Amino acid sequence: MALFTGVFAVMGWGSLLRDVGSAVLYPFQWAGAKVSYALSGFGDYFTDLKDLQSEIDSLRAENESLRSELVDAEILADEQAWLYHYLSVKEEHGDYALCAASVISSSSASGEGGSYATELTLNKGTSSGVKVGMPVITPLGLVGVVVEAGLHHCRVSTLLDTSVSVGAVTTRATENGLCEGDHAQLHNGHATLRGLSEEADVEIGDLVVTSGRGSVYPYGIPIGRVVSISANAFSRTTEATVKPLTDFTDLSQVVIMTDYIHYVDGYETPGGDP
Amino acid sequence: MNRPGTRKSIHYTPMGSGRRVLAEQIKLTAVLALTGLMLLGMETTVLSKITIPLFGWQAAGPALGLLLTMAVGFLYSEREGAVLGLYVGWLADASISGDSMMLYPILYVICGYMSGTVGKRRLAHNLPSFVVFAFVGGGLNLLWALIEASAFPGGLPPTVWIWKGLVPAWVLTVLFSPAVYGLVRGEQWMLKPRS
Repeated sequence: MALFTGVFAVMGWGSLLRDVGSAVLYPFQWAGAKVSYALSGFGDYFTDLKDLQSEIDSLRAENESLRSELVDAEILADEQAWLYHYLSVKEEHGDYALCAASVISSSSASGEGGSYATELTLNKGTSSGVKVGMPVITPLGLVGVVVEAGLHHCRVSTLLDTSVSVGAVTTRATENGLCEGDHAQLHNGHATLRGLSEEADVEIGDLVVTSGRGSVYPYGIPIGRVVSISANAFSRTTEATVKPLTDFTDLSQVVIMTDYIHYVDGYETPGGDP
Repeated sequence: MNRPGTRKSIHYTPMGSGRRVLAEQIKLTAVLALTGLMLLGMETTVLSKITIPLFGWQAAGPALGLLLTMAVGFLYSEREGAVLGLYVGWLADASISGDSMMLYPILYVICGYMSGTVGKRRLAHNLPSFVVFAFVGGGLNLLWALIEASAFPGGLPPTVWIWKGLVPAWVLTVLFSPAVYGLVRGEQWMLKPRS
C-alpha cells in the first residue's frame, strides 16, 4: 500500500491526489478556521486586557510625573509672580535698597480667616546687610520690622504684633496716628489706628500709609484700609480698625528695606538709614 | 472475536458474515473517515496556533491524523490502521502543510500498520501503552520531517526549525494522544452492536 502511494507520486499523480484531498478537506478546514478565528479573538480579548493594563500602568506613571511637573510649574509661577512684584517695587521705589528674603518660620495667632502671622523668621541676616529696625514689606504693603538680626537669619515682628507701633497717616485727610497690633483685633487679623484727634476726618475705606515719623519706616508704605471707626471716651481720641493690605495668613516671600531716603509726610528729612 | 496470535481484546472489531457485517464495516469506515477529516481540519487550523511557552512558536501543532491512525491500528487491527493511514496521510498531504511527494501517506500507512502489529502485540492494551506508542510515532514523524527537509534544503536554520517546530509538535502529539485514544475508544463503544 505504501509502495502504491509511492508509485502514484512517481507517476506524477501526486498533485492530482492533493487537489482532490484539498477539496475533501476544505469544508473542515473552513470550519476549523472559523473556530480558530473566534478563539484567537477570544485570546486577543485577554491579550488586549494585558496590553491595556500595561498601558494604564504607563499612563499612571506619566500622570504622576506630570503632576510632579505641575507642582514644580506652580512653584515657578509663584516665584515668577513674586519676582515680578519685587521688580515693580524696585521700579516704583528707586530710592529703596531692597533685600528679598524668604520666610523660614512664623508664629501666628489663629483667627476667623486663618492663622495670622505675628512674628516671622527670615533667611537673611547681618551677612546680607540686615539690621534691627529695618522695615519689611511686600509688594502689597507693610509687613513689620526686624527686631532681631543673626548672621544668616532675622526675626520680624509683624504689624499685628502688639509690640509694634507704626507712625501712620490717612491719605485722604492726612490724619496722623499710630498703627498698632491689638489683642482684641488679632482674631480677625486687623490692626488699630490710635491717637487720632477727636474730630479726625476718618472714613471707612480710607487708605492708611506710613507717615515716616519715628525714623523707622519711610513715608508712603501702604498699611491697610479703615474698616471701622470708634471713639475712645477715656482718651477723647478716635480709633480706627485697619485691615492690612498684606495677607498675613500666607507669607512666604518678603522684602527687607535695607536703605531708603527718609521722608516725613512726603518731605525729605536727614538720616535715611534705619 | 480475537484473532489468533493476538492478545485478548476487550474491544470490538466488526467480524462475521453477511449484510450486517458489511453494514457495520461501512458505518465504521464512514465514522473513521469523518473523524479523520475533523481531526485534520482541527490540526491544520485551530491547533496550529498553539504556543508552548518553553518553545514559543505558534506554528507547531499536534499530529492528530497520525494519532488517529495509530489509535485505530492499536484498537482495531493493523489492516484498519494501514487503510486509515493511507487515507489520513493523503488528506494530510493535501492540507496546507503537506507536500507533493506523497510521503505522508507512506509514513501514516507504516505507523498505522505498526501500531496494529508491534503496538498491540508487544505492549499492554491500554492508554499508557498508547501514549508510549504516540511518543515513538511522534518521533518517527519528526525524523520523517527531517528527511523531507534534507531533500528540500533552505528556509529556517535546522536548529531553529527542530527546536521551535518539530520538538513542540512532538510534545503536543504526545500530550494529545490520550484525547485521541479516548475518542477512538468512544467511537468503538458507540459502534458496538447492542444485541
